[in-house]
Amino acid sequence: MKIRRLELENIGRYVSRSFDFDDLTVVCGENRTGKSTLIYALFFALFGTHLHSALKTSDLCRKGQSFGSAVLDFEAGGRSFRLKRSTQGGPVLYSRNADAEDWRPDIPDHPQTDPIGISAEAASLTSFFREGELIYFLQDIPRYNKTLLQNLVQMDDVLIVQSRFKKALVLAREENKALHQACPLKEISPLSLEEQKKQAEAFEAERSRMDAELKNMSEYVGKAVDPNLFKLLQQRRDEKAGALEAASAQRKQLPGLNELAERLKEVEAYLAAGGEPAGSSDALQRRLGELERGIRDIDDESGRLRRLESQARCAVCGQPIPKQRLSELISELAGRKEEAEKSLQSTRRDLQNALDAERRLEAARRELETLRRRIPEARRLEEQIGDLKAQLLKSDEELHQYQALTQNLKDPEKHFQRLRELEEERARLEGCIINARVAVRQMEQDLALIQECSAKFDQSRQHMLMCNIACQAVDYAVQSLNRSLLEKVRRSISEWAGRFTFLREFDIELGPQQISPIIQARGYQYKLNQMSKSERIFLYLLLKLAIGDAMSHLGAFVLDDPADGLDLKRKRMLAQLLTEISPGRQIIVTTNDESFADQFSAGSRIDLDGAI
Amino acid sequence: MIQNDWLIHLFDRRVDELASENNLDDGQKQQIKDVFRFALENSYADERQIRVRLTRQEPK
Repeated sequence: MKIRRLELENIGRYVSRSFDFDDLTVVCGENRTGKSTLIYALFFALFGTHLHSALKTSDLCRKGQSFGSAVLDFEAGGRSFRLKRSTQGGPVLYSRNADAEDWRPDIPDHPQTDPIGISAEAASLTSFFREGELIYFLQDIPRYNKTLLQNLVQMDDVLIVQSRFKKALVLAREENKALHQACPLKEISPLSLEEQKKQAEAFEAERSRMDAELKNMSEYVGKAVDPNLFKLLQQRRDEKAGALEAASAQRKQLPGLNELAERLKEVEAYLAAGGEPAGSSDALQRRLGELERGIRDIDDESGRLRRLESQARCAVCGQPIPKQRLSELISELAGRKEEAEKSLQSTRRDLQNALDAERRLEAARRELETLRRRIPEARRLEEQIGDLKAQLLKSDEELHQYQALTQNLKDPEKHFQRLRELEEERARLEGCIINARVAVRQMEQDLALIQECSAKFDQSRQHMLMCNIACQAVDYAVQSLNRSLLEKVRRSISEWAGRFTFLREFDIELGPQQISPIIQARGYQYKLNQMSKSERIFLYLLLKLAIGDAMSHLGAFVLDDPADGLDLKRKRMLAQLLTEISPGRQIIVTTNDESFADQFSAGSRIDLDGAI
Repeated sequence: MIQNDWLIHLFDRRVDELASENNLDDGQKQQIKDVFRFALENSYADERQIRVRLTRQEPK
């Protein structure tokens, strides 16, 4: 590809200007005269994007303008092309044959046919030498080279694809692992299932045998032979006997019911008759009091008469006291007193009789109450005794029955022990049967699941195989491509090795064995850091030219101010080198250094003087 | 891209070798090759899409 002409309209500082290019073109101008703009415009005309990926194409427009356009004329494959591009519209490609004058819209014979040949990214790395890139190179040469190589072959994209294939394999493996986890861990053979079934059946047979033995024992002794039941029966019988004894003792303390009834009748009759005939004790008490007062009055009168008998005359009237009369009166009083005392004695006896009668009546009343209470109690006791006797009889019968049942057993305790052991063993067997049945069911389910999973496993293994083969093939292709590209770069650098003579000063040989360590940054960082800035820039330019030559490129190298930082010697060497290679590869180089521009012995020159 | 063409060539060659070793049929071989081209041409194609395309059962 040879770039021949570029027409710009409203791009950067240019309102409308055109540039013609030779195989070697030196663009010379001071700062702010549009050198870099020209490089950016050239890249935009070719690829429709900004050379700086961080900037937009609209940033190329002249200040105050909404759009700009570029028209690029170039030659490729023996044909001439015109590529029109605007910041707002798509590109339009025209072509014409060498002998024709009119441009015609170019319709490619094949969609893959592209007169430019490489992508914008590759061109920006292999054909365009940028100032910012140089700074990056100077900071970390080995890392730059590694990145450059990767970017050159679009290794980033390829590595991403490679990574995605590996992740796809991981996904397939995870799917396979998930299938394994969903399936039973152990492989179950049908043989072990059969064994498990046989064991379950053996347990069941043993249980049947045990059931028969238990049934036999139960029929023989029945549930009544339980020693605990015997103890219970005995205890109940003892309790009832004790209760009966207590009730009988209570009953014995009471007379018979007939006796009580007769006595009740007697007492009731006695009370109905009002008790024994006797005077009222109160009246007798009063009579007794009256008699005692009468006796005391008689005694008092007798005492007064006796006192008078000892006196000769009356102390009141003074008349002589008749002694005879007094004696008669005293005798009369003595008689009356005797009668009164007799009456008193008789009254006292009557009173005593009356009080006794009253006491007996009261006693009869109390006895009546007692009788009335005791008769129901005696009846209740008799009923209770009757019940208890009946219960005791029943308990005795039960005990007899129990003894009749057990009398055939020689050793009931031993028999019961065996019964208990059988029941415990049966319970254990029941558990074993349940476990065995559960195990059989689990194994059957697992077998079904395994059979179900088997098809999925096969499919999953096939998926993994496909992913694995794809991964291996990607790895192989990427590594082979890497080796192949690196080999191309090595060959190219070997061809350019004559230009790297200054490296010998740093004991760096550029033989086939030594090239890759420089590119891949192994052990050469120290030596590279020892170089001067000028030497490093020169190395960068040479390496990039060599690598660009090795890879596909535009067929042209566009260098933006490459002489910046070079010493005079290297400027001369660079100018000489670019002049030498320009017939085979078109060179467009910008500089603000007049002396460097003057070093070029061939080619054309564009002096930028600020014209827009 | 020239690199991609070379990469695809290398990939296809290796797939042919591996398919022969692992008894893959022609359909499966072609499936792997198609998925690689698809992945190179479509930057949005992530690992899930790649896996799905690799494991898709093609009608025979």
